[in-house]
Amino acid sequence: MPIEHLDHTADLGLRATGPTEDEAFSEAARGLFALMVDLATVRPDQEYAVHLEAPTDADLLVEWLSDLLAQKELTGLVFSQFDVRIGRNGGGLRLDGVASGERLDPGRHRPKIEVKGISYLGLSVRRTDGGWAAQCVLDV
Amino acid sequence: MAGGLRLERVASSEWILPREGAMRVPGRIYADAETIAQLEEDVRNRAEWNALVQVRNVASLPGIVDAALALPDVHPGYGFPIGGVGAFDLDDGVVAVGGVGFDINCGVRLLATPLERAAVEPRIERLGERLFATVPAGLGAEGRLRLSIAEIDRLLVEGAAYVVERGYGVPDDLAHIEENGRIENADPSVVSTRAKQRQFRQVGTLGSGNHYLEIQVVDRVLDPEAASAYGLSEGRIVVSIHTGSRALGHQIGQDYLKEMTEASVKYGIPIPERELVCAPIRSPEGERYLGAVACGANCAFANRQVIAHLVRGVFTEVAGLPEEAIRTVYDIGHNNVKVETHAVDGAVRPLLVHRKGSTRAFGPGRKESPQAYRSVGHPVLVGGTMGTASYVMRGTDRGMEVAFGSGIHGAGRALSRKKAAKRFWGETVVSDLAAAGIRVWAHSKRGVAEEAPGAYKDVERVVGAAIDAGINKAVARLRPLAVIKG
Repeated sequence: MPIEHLDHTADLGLRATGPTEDEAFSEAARGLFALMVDLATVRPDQEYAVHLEAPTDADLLVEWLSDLLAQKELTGLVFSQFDVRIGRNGGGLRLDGVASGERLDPGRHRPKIEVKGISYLGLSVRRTDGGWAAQCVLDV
Repeated sequence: MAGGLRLERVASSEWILPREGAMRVPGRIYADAETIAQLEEDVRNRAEWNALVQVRNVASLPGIVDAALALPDVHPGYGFPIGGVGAFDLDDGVVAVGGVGFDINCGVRLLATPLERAAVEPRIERLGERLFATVPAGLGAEGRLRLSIAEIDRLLVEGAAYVVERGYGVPDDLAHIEENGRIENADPSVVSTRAKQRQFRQVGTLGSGNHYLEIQVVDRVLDPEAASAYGLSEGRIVVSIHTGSRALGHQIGQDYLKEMTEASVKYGIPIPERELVCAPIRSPEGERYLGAVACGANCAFANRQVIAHLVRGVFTEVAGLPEEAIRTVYDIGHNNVKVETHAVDGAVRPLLVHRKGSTRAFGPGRKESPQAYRSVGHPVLVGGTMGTASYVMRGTDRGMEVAFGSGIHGAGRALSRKKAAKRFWGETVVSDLAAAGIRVWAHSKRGVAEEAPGAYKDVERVVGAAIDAGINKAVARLRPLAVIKG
């Protein structure tokens, strides 16, 4: 299962896996938006380009998810498809991505809960036997 | 017990986590035996996130004074436990983002109407429907008040007064808000443009999750003197608004987690858990964060003020009440950090007090309480669940001595959102509550399932432990009649 929502008493944990780090990051974004809307109803009509840098893989995950979260209010968009490319950049990392979605339509997207922030609790991005796993706790 | 986390019981609802290892002070937990058993089980099971480890971690931060506290609604948070209190010396101490969280100054506003239950019952359906239609709630809901960046900056400095000046409420409201609805050291220049832009459409919105708007009845008065001071009597209809600083606060939290990560390294502060990243209070980074938190807090005061205005409008429309007939009893936050004076070892001194999922609960005589409440202390607003009860409590002299004048903020979750959503079905929760005479209007059925009354601890148990510990006193119990959820 590429996305798993974990137990945390106050909030919600998210663990996403993929054969590559790029795919684990895409799945983490899908896991984030799956908490907010019914992903199957969100058409990937509009694209939002993301370019981010961070010192570590874990920081990059927080940057990626929190940027997408902010775009929800800044653009009114919710996203259902993600294309991520992560590269090493000197001592740090760089992410170039595209998120595709459309303006939130409460009638069609079946809104669920709002996510307030991406916390550092339980934060990890690591290689696994089958590929990569990205994990964090979301404040809802 | 694993990791040396062995609690010592010192009174029926008071436990000490003795100082050991990196701890600079002990932990002190006010809770009932059942809550403690759950915390200990989490440690035994090596739960990935557990509140006792979080108490120990807070007790290890530089400059912490007396003890790291947890109150009866304690459960695992991020960095600090929910229900956590940490007070720090201004010269040697730190300010930690995890002691406030993302929803800066999330809190409760209590409004009192002049109406009795019998007068409202025939109109409750209409009131609920109109509140649901009028108060923007749920994912993506937008407020009607749109502000420019310059106007947002004023709101961040002036707080509730800014929106009252624009016609959202009456001047008397301000005297009945913690800090008069305006924290003084707010500095909009240290709040990112992104945070301000995210707030453009969110002023006067309720949000989702555990936020709510409830029409309630004062079901029982438990402290006649304080209830009289607060203007509460049995059978009276009141309204509770539970929300916070919305996207602006969330973005400040996110921005400063990152900034404090760098500050922790710069100042060589050992961080037991990454969510506890912090900076010395008297450092440029610490001062910037405190200036930003004050902005977030003022935004939350203004947000609840606008929603209170919308509630008044509905009562005018449905029940013919003039705006000024609905009085603000009090408005108090439960995610904040600010400077307060407290007596420690006989000496009165300023301290930086973090409260994460706990409220200020100043006892009798403090000048910070509104004049009319000063003899009993200001109200402490405790949010219950949709199906049980909320409480109005107050602080005590003992709470001032042993808990930095702090109070409980809610029932405290017992089940994770995932477990609750699995165990409860939103539509069944709504029909069960309807059978109990509680009507629910909600934008998200999944949200209702996650917030089902069974997902929380018994609020009576939590309130009972706070009373038994002597830190808070119950004033009145409020029962919900109509619930609006995001």
